[in-house]
Amino acid sequence: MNGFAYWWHRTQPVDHAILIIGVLFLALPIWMIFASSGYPPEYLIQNGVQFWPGDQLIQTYDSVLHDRRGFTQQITATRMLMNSFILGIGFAVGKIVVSMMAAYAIVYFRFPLASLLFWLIFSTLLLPLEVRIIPSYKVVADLGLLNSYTGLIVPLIASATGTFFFRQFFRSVPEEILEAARLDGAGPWKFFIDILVPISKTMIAALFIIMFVVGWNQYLWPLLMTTNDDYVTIVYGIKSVMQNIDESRIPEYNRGFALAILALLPPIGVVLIFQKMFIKGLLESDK
Amino acid sequence: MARLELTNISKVFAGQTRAVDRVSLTVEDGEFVALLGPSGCGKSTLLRMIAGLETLTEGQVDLAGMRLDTVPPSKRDVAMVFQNYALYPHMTAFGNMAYALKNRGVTRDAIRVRVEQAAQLLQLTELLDRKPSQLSGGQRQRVAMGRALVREPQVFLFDEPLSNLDAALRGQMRVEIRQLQRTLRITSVFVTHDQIEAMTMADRLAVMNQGRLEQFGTPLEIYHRPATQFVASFIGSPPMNFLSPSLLPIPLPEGTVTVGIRPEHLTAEGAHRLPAGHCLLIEELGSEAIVHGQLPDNQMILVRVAGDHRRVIGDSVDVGFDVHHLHCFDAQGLRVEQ
Ligand SMILES: Nc1ncnc2c1ncn2[C@@H]1O[C@H](COP(=O)(O)OP(=O)(O)OP(=O)(O)O)[C@@H](O)[C@H]1O
Ligand SMILES: [Mg+2]
Repeated sequence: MNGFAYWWHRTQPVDHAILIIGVLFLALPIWMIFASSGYPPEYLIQNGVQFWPGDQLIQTYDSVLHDRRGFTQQITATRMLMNSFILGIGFAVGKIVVSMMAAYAIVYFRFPLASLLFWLIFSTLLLPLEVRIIPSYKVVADLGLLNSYTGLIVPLIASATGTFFFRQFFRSVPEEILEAARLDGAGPWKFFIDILVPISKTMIAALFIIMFVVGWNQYLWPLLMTTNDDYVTIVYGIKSVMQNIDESRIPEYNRGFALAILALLPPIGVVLIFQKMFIKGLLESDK
Repeated sequence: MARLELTNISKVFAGQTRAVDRVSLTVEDGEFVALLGPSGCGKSTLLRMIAGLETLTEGQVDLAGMRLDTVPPSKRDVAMVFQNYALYPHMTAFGNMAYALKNRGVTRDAIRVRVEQAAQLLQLTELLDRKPSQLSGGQRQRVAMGRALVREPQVFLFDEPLSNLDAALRGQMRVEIRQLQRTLRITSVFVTHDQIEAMTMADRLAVMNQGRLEQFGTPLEIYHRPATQFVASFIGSPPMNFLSPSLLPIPLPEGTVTVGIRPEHLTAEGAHRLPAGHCLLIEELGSEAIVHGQLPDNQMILVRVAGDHRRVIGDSVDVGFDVHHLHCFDAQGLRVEQ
């Protein structure tokens, strides 16, 4: 056994211990939230967060998913999840479509001021939503899009980051591919759809993961945009459940915890599904 | 008939670099022409102008008697094989070959028939379902050929298609491409900077230098009667010797400033002698050897001798030549007829 392998074997248990501690550190709080969601709020107030699951798990989730609550007693968590899905997917798909097309125009078409335009788009990276939230709100309000999915999604989908990533990616695609496609009779639109989009698969999957999670976690914009309970997203819903002092005069921690767990699941699912595609794409393409 | 005619075409990049300088040449129907020249002499640019991937700064291209340079590349009946193959990485070999036909609205059944025919010709039948990443260099090269082939174009353009292959495969593909072209009789232009490739494959050879066409002729014409000193030095390996006229014991034509003679034409039996020199270095190649000699005046010469020559470094080099093997060039580097 050479020195390195020896060292490797000796340190492996230590490495594993460190990794296991890390995993516990990250996963335990989530487990405890899950476990605690099975207790009534009064119990949680008195005894704190619990380690072993309570006996009301099923009841809590059933009630959260199906009972109408909220300011107008109108909304269930199912609806919130759906809203969040629409926001997350609309946000991710919108961003990918818009930024791919912008990057396509910037990279493949010679038009005056192309690079100036690119840097202009790029500089908006420095301006997060929070900075432009008032003007954005005003525009959306003037267009009569408050309390609508369109108003919720469209103002968010312009993406400097996405445009930047796709621009870098398109520039790495060999020019000969474009030339071969031109000789093969593909026009600009065909080249985009038949060649560029498929070879960007991995980029798209990677961006989709990131953007879906970002969209799912949007808080400030939905809070501002939606006054109607029909459009409440789950992230915003958690907050309102915790604040919602019911007849019992105690915040419904169990419901809040259940919502938090529910809110976690779809992003995890998206990561799992797209990660597979992402890795497969990485292994297949060889550019 | 797919006769390709280039008339005085030039390409000026960004207002300064004259990549191609007033080139005129005609490729006859079914002919295989090689474009040969050093790196950066404008071969690719010339080819890309024929394909329509570069615009012409001046001049005109005609194909089969019709103006070609005003037609967009997708409408030209011209197929190109790129140096790095430029296969679509996400499509199978079949998809790559079918793409052009699909864009032209050929029916699915017809596409299948044509792709399978081409695949058979190129021995790709087993590989049609593979992606480019699952193919070897030579197989990719064949798919690239197939992609050009299925379109049944009027003109084939090749831009150094063999330069990414190893020597053995290159030799094999050279033969295959040539046989295929002979069978199909498609007008072809083949860019290379490998003179062996050019000499062995081409019906006619166009030698370029710094954007200009130096000579256009059959390989043997170019070997035996190089039109310029550049062509003389570029074609032939080991390269031609260039001597100053004062070293030669015979009268030379008016205006000659340089005399060229190939290493294989310097022999012990030659009718006229060169001044004797001595041997500096011997490159042994087995079947033959290249002797590097130094003549008076510090003039260096290369002499090609048989493998069993038994010379050693320091021996005298005493060779002669026949007058008809001399190539005389004037101050502009142009050939002077004897
Ligand atoms: N897009 C371009 N813009 C400016 N100059 C260019 C461009 N493309 C080519 N050139 C120049 O034109 C000249 C000819 O280039 P070209 O690619 O035709 O050479 P080549 O003969 O194919 O060389 P190689 O054997 O290395 O491929 C070179 O000096 C090159 O720098
Ligand atoms: Mg080239």
